Order: sequence, then C-alpha cells, then structure tokens
Amino acid sequence: MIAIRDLEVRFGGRRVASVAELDVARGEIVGLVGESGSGKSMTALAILGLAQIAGARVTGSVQLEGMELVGLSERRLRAVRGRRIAMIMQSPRASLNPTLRLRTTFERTLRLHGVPKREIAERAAAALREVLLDPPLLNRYPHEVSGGQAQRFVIALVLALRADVVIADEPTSALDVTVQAEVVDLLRRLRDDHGAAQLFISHDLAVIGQLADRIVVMRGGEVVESGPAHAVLAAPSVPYTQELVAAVPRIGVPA
Amino acid sequence: MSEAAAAGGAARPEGGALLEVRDLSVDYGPNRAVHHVDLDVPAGPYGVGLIGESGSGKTTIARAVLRLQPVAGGTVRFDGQDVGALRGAALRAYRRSLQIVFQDGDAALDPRLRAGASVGEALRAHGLASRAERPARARALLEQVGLDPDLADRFPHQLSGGQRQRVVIARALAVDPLLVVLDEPTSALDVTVQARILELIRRLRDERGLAYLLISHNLAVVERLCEDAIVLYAGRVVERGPTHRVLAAPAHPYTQALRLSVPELGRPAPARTTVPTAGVSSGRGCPFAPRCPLALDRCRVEMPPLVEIGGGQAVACHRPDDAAALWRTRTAADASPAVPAHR
Repeated sequence: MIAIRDLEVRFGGRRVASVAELDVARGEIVGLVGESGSGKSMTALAILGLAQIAGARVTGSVQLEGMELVGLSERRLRAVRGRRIAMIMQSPRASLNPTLRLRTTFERTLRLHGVPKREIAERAAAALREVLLDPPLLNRYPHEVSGGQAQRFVIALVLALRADVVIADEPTSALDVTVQAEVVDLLRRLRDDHGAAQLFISHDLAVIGQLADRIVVMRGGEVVESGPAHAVLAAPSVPYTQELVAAVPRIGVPA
Repeated sequence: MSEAAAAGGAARPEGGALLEVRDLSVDYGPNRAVHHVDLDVPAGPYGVGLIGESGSGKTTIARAVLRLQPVAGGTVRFDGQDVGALRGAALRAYRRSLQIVFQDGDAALDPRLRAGASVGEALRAHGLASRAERPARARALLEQVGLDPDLADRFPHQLSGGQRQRVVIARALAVDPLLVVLDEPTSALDVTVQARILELIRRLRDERGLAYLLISHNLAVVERLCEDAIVLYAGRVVERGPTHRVLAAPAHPYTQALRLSVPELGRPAPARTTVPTAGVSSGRGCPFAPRCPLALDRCRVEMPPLVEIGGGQAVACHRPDDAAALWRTRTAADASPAVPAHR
C-alpha cells in the first residue's frame, strides 16, 4: 500500500528524518519505535504531506499504491488525507473540534470526504457498534467524553471512512493502561477484519510488540534496525535496540 | 530524630509508621475525590506504591499529605504528629522532612535559575547552608544524583528531560528529608532514561535510608521499588498488600484488569478484561461495578469494605472467591505463563 524510498525531511540545513526503505502492506501493521527526537513523527507527517506545510523540505519518494505523494499538490493531497490515509493522534480530544458535538464532526468529516448523505447515518451506526460506543454519545462535546471514548470515536471515524492506510501516532500513550488495552484490541481488529495497512508509531516497545508484524527502530533521525517483530524483540541486533528492549519494565522479573 | 518530632515533642509511637493516613476524605466542591483512605509508610528504607489511573485520587492524596489540599475528613500523622495541627516553625520543619518530586521536571524548575542555584535555593529556604557554602553543597548533591557537577551552571532548557528530573531529585534531597513523595517521577521520560532514574531512586533509598510514597500507574515500576502496594480506583482503596502478592495474585477484578493490561514483551495481549462501555457509577456501590465482569446488583448499590484475605493482603470486593477463581481462569487460559519466560 505504502512504499517509502530514500525519504529525507530537512528543516533548514538539518536532517530530522531519513528513511531509505519502508513498506506497509495491506493487512499489515508496521511498528515505528523511537524516543523523542528520533524522527518517527516527522516521518509520519511527511507521508501525509504535512511536514512540508510546517516548513520542512522533503525529498525522496512516498507511493500510495503507485501514486507518488511527494510533490503532489495540496489540493490533491487533501483528497488522499482522511479518505485514503487516516491519522490517529496521541490526544484524541485535542484533535477534535471542541465546539462541535461528536455527531457534527462525524457527519462533516464523512461529507467532506464524499460519502453520500444517505449513507452517513448507517455508517455511523455500524462504526460505533464496532468500537462499542453507545450512539447517544454522539450528542456530546469532546470535553464530555473520556480520553478512551474519544479515541474510540476517532477509530470509528477511520472505520466509517474506510481508509486503506492508518497512521497512528502514539494513539495509546495518553490513555490509562486498561483503556490502552481496549484501543490496542481495536487497532488489531482494524487490521484483521478490515485489512487496513497501519503504521503504528510509539515509544513503547511493549505496546508495539503486541500489535506489529514488523518493527522499524529509529534514533536521531535514522533507521537503526528493522525486521519481523518477533525477531527484533527476541534478538535485537544493534545495541540501541537491545537497550530499548532491556528498558521495558517487566513484572515478575527481578531488576 | 527529625526536627518535626522534636518541635512538636510527640514522638512516633514504637512500631508506628512514619506516615499514617487514617480515614482521609477530600472533596472538590460537591464531588468527593478521595473516600476514607487509610495508608501507612514505615520509616525508610521503605517504599509504598500508590497505584491508580487518571482520576483515581492518587495525586490528591499526595497533596493532602503535603497540606496543599484541605481535607474533608480524617487525619494525617507524620512521625507521630497530627499534620493538620502544625503551625509556624513546626509546619516548616514538616515541609522539610517531606519532599515531593513531580512528574514534570520542566515545570518544577524555575526557568531563570541555573541548576546549581535551584538546589542552593532549597538549602537557603531552610537555612541549611551559608551563602558561601551553597555552591559547593549544590555541586555535591548534583554529583550524588549522577550528574556532572559542571551542569550546575546550566539553565533548565539546556538540560535533557532526564537531567532535569535528576536536578529535581537533588533539590528534594538537599534538605535531608525523611520521606519523599514521588509523583509519577518517570512517566514523562523516554524509556531508556526512565530505567536509569528508577535505578537512581533505588540507590538513593539504600544509601540514605529513604522512605517514599511512589505514585504511579505503572505496576512494573511499583514492583521494582516498593514493598507495599495500594490500588486506588475512583478515590477508594480497592486492594492493598505486599507488592509481590498484589501483583502475583491480584484479588480485585480491577487490579486483575490492570495487571493483564500491562503489555509485556513476549506475551500476547490477553482477551479483554474489562467491560469497555463504561457506564456511569451509581455513586453508591463499588465504583468499578460498571466495568466489572463479576458485578451483581448488590455491587451497584453497596460499597464493599476492605477485608483482610491473608498474608497482609486486603480487598474491597463482594465476591472475593469468584474474583480469585476468575484470576486462575484468566492466567490459565493465557497460553504463556503469567510471569514472562525471558529471565
């Protein structure tokens, strides 16, 4: 679905992210792990053409099913964002318009992406059912729902848009662990039941380990290791990944 | 013997805890945030972990202990003295004996003060060093927390997140506290940095005989640093006991959900452990009832008391036997053992 080649993101003269090769296939979750400043979020923003808006210079190639996204006009990128590539952010409530009821956000977003009006109610009902939210919740404003409910709402929106690619940037980091587990479960179903290609970005290797089919490790703007998830976690090949794996807090293992 | 005790003249009873919280309740306007909480922290070296998610009341309890928050009921005793009754010099001495380290090292430091001056300021405020002595003492403290003493000349924005948190810890230790409240001390840090800060806390505890109340949502952190664990949900203690027991055999359905929700390397994600459509609690019964897979009608109207179940472990649940059986099923159904194999 997504094929990245020689992608570089620069601010001024400084290179903040460099990815030689990264593919995400349909029905696959690729985990992008790194600490603050590693370039993982910048990579995500570059895919969506958003790093450019922030003033970055982006070179290389990002293809969505053969369509080149780097250098695409803003007008054509807007048709790709949301509809084909959806993004889930860390702070779901902050990513929703606080002055609109969730229902309005839902309807406007679907209409904006060309979903016929008569289909909207039906898609909303189906998506909410899937993420286990009560339909009356749509009457609330973002501040009236919990962080977990807001994130489930955003996932329902992604489901209703039927996006092919989902970029999730730390989607569980701001949530309590019991809620985090529920959201991880939903993202897994987005892959298994809907075949979405997902780029899951997190600093938390343990969460990535539960979801990802493949793992890409970034540090200081560079990819330092990548491979099948089980291989990277069981036998990390570079010292930095080894340090990351060792730093994951474990229960029942003496420090 | 601390100055707090000396000033008040009332020594801690033999065998009593350093910090004793009894029946503490805290209100925010019409809403009760903390309900009848009991909590003990023995003299150091000793760690007590306060586990809970957002809104569980853990930070509110810490604020009440520090007397930063008016209480609606109950008492806080420190070293045998009623903290609520402290005034003047005795209150100042108390605030010296008890220090707090917040989650956000950035916000806790004055952006206009160099690291050394931040630590020196704590010494000055409590009259612990003359102006001439302060720089050297500050450098020595920075060194104790594993920082290059030359960083004393840096401003907060010139330090990394981990370095800033070390400065905050050095500042807390500057006044030789008996007890430190650590409020999510590593949550804002990258994982590799987090691991090093946890090591530092462990070392300081052993070297200085520190007692601490560690507030965290992270069970692995509490396991590493605390003898006792207290689990809060919606302002109530739902379970407490020796940490190893609470984590190995969690007795409350909420603790179980928490325990199974922690992603572990090499263990697949468990089946869902809570009822995700969180209904609203009736306000009378067990606060976890709307999410609890075992909830009965009774649970929704009557709060279960905290009852000892052996080995120092206590649980507030109407169905402790069924909860224990649920835990056995959950851990047996999990193909891999509850304790990960990669030791």
